[in-house]
Amino acid sequence: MALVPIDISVARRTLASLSNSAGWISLQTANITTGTGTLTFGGDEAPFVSTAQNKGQPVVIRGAGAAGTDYYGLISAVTNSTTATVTPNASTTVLGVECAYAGKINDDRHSIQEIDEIMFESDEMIYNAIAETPGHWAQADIAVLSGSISSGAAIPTHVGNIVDVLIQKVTAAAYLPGVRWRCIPDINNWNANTGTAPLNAFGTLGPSAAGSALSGYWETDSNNYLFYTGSDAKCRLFTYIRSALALQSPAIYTSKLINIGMARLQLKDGDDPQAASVWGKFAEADMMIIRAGGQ
Amino acid sequence: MVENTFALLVLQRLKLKEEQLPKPIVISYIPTVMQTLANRVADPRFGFPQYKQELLRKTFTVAVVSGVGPLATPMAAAEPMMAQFARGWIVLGPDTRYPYTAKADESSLLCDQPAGLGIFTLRQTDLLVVNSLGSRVYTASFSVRAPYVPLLANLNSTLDDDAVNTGCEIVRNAVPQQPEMEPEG
Repeated sequence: MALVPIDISVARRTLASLSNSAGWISLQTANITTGTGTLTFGGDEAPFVSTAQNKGQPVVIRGAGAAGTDYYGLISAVTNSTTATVTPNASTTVLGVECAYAGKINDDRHSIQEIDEIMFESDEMIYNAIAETPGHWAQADIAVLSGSISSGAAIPTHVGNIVDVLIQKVTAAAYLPGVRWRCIPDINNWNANTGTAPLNAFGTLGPSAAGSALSGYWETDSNNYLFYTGSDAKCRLFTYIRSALALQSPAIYTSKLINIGMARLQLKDGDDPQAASVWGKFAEADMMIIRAGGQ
Repeated sequence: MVENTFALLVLQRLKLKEEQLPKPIVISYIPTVMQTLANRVADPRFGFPQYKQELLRKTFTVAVVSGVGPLATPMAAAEPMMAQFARGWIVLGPDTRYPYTAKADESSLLCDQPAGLGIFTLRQTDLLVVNSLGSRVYTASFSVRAPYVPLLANLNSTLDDDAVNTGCEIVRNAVPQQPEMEPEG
């Protein structure tokens, strides 16, 4: 069963609220129409107080900028607790999206972009720690299947060790886990066996023939090349490719992502160094736990 | 029996996993296993019953010219005739309905022979015969029923179990001693 990855909204909101020394307030139900500056909130979110208190505060609206990028602007007036006017006008219409505005004027140390960057970096740190820890329980859930690899060809770039090799014994057969045999010369000899004398020392069938007992063995060399017997092979391996839409570490590590993220966020000039030290200790312990295969 | 099945059965009986001994290595011993099995079946000292011995015998046709029949071809066939058991061969010529009598060597052919019986012996890869009338230059087509080494694919299924047991014995002695497997769990 595949593990559920960390919820990106939960991680972003938690990091934003915990690192909120700049007064950034994270909201989830912003609405704005392209060409207008009227920002409204739904649900029970009612963040505005008055024009006198909120005017001039910076605002970020997810996806309301040009071509769906994030919108940056300032509050120019407050209509009521759920509606304000922002400047400039939005370039894209959005409904029910994330929004953050700074509760403290001129204090923008942890913008939503900065939080996102830290969040993805922390996610990658956790992912890589799982990938690099032999036998980690979560490996099977974050590994991906490579494309076809010829025997003697390089395994695609990956993090850590490969999980295993799936071998297609004969054309059109299913890909099944192969047996690792730590002797590449043996594998080469089996591949050379045609079944016809003098190349029949290992039986009457070649390694890709139906019913052959020669297929299904593999080994890698120190240069990351794969050798196997069979018709085709694919590797299960780890490749962290950042996605703006999702995190990739298991959800059970959400708290660890927060700890690691906070340790990095709090390192910024002007933040509390003692808090950074505490978060750093949490993060250090968390990384050790992950690399020990714990939860 | 196919090679794959043979290898699987040998590994299972030896309680070995493929990570310890891949099937191709087991398969590479099949010719040795077949040779050993054929030797044992044909050799009376191993006590194989007559019906099993008969399963590993077949009739070869030998063209004898001037008392000499070349056996190089049947001895090099995919399922070769086994010359070491010549004393048990049934050699029949067209001159008599009685099987020829085996002699130890070529010099024995010079001795007196039983009246009405042909005699034969081997000289390297040749069959030498003296027919029932005492002719040493007899020319005729002979049939020789002799033990042979079978191919695994052609082995009578009655002998499958003997082949696997022989395979286990040979493989166990041929590979380094494997540690006992830890129980899984």
